[in-house]
Amino acid sequence: MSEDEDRIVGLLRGLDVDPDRPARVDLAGAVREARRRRRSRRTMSVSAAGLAVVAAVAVPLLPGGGPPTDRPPAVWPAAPSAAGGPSPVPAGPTTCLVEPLEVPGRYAGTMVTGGDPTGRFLVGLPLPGDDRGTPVIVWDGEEARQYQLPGAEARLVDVSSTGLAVGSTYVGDRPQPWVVRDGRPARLPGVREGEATAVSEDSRIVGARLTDDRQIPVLWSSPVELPVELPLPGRTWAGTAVGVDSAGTVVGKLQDGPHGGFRAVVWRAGGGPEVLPLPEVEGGTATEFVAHTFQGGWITGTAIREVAGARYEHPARYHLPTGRYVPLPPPTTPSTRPTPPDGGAGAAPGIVSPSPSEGGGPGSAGPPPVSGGDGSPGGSPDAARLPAASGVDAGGSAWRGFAINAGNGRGWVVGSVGKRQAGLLTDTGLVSLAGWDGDRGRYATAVTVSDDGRVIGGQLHVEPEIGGGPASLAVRWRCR
Amino acid sequence: MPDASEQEYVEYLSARLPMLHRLAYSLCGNSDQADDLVQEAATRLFQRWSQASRADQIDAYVRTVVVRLFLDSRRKGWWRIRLFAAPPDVRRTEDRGVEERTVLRDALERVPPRQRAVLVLRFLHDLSVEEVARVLGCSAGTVKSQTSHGLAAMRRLLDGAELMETTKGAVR
Repeated sequence: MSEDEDRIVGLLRGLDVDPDRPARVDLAGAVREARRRRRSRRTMSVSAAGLAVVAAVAVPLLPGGGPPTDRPPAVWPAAPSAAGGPSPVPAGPTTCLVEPLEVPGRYAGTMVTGGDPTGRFLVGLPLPGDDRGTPVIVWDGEEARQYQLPGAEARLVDVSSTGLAVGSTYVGDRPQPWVVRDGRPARLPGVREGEATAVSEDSRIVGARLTDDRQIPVLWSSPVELPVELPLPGRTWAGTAVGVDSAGTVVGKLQDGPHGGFRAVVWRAGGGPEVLPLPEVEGGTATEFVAHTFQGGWITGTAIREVAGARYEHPARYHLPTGRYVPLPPPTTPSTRPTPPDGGAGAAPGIVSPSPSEGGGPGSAGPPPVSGGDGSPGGSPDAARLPAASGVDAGGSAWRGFAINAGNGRGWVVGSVGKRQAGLLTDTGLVSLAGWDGDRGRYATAVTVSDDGRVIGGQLHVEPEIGGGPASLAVRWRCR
Repeated sequence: MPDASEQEYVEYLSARLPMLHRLAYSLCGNSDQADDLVQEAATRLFQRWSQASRADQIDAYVRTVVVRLFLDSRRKGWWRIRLFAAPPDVRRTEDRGVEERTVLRDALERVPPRQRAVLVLRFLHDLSVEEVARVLGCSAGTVKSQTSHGLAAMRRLLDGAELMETTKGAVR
């Protein structure tokens, strides 16, 4: 080594100092994440091998020794109809029973605003909010805990399976991002005005910073770390992040200028921003795609096609790992299939068909498109035979009466049918989410669904004769 | 309730976190990015813990994971996202050597990642040429040439900086 090189080496050794702070590494989190990856790898192996028969056996593919607090298995027993098919179609629940979510105290109403992927936690709020502020609520199973945030219109909108809940509150008419962590509300650092919209299983949080009324998407690597701004596709773009996963992938809904249509944008660990293409819907290419949630690789949202000033909305889902839009089946029930391959199991209680006026009636529904189709909801065999944008009745502009609120890690979505009935739409079809006594709930909607589809949160608007006045009531549907 | 292997993993890694964080910090020069590297390395280690825990040179294995993750992150460019609007870097101004280290650190960060890894492993973590070759999965000859290129790059980057003159002869 030359003298000159020796000198450089000597200088380099001057950098042999300890970091400016100790390591912040979460070993428990590493263990959880490693187990999750093992599970998803097993899942992928099963899918890749096309082992529908294996998946049809009702045995969850849990690795040995996994703690009971782990997330549910990523593989769900496939529908009998899928056995022998090219790829297993996970069967969703068929029967759901509603139960009220209790809240201590007297309120005119309550709402659910989010839930975690395992179904353990739901978050919500009591109504009406007023200037004094109302608490936010975290339901852990049957137990409701209330937390007071400063300001007004406080709301939590997402929660992880560890109970880390995120949301915002308005102080002096300006939003602030907050979390409820270990039973304590805390303001998220580094953003004076903004919101938190979603949290990953490993406590990454996304949302937006508000700068001169322009939203800039941000990512907090943890609730105690300063956020980073996510790069925008262009100088005039703005918007908020709507979801983040444990691999660090972030999804947002952004628009180019205040009047630009919404687009879904992805920042993968390793790059970004990527503006996703617009989906094909009935009648042509959508003019906007508004992402609502990002869970288990699925971006679910509302595709909007504007024709002559009228806006037609369609639920849409994009599967990020395969890079395709995957059509949702029409919001009709399996019982309306011409020849139910499962012998009519779809006629189980809890499943109803929307009225013909809401679009999709008997005879219009074919076999559900399976995941990995041609990427075009409009390309499903029956879609072409249906009138486009049928929801001009009570269903408003929603796709065949179905308006979407959120999706889960299997690409299933929840929302409302005809704005009157809450519903879960899986690859097998629509599961109606009834109120008590069948039809007394009105203006009901579902706003969150667990990854296994067994827990759904939402609200019913209770009739006057029941509640003493029209009121929203937070409920949970338990499904099987 | 953690099982025995999880307990063993946590015990092993807890003891080595400072070493791994220091290595990651030397490579990327930023505590937050160092945390990310070690967090990911810890995850991957647990994924393979049943095999890794039986390995003869588990320390070398974990170190290799950290270095390769660092090189991978540079290749993919995700680190730029973190740097974007990163919080201000708070440096300890009471330290007399801070200015010198800042200049050195800036120069090191501009050396290509693979050469930087060689310099860090050889001269900040005292690994032999053979050990560095194993970590990077290359030959000893390549390590030597990367060392030479890396030092030359440092020399060029520091050229013109007063540091070279003021410290000439002062070190060693």
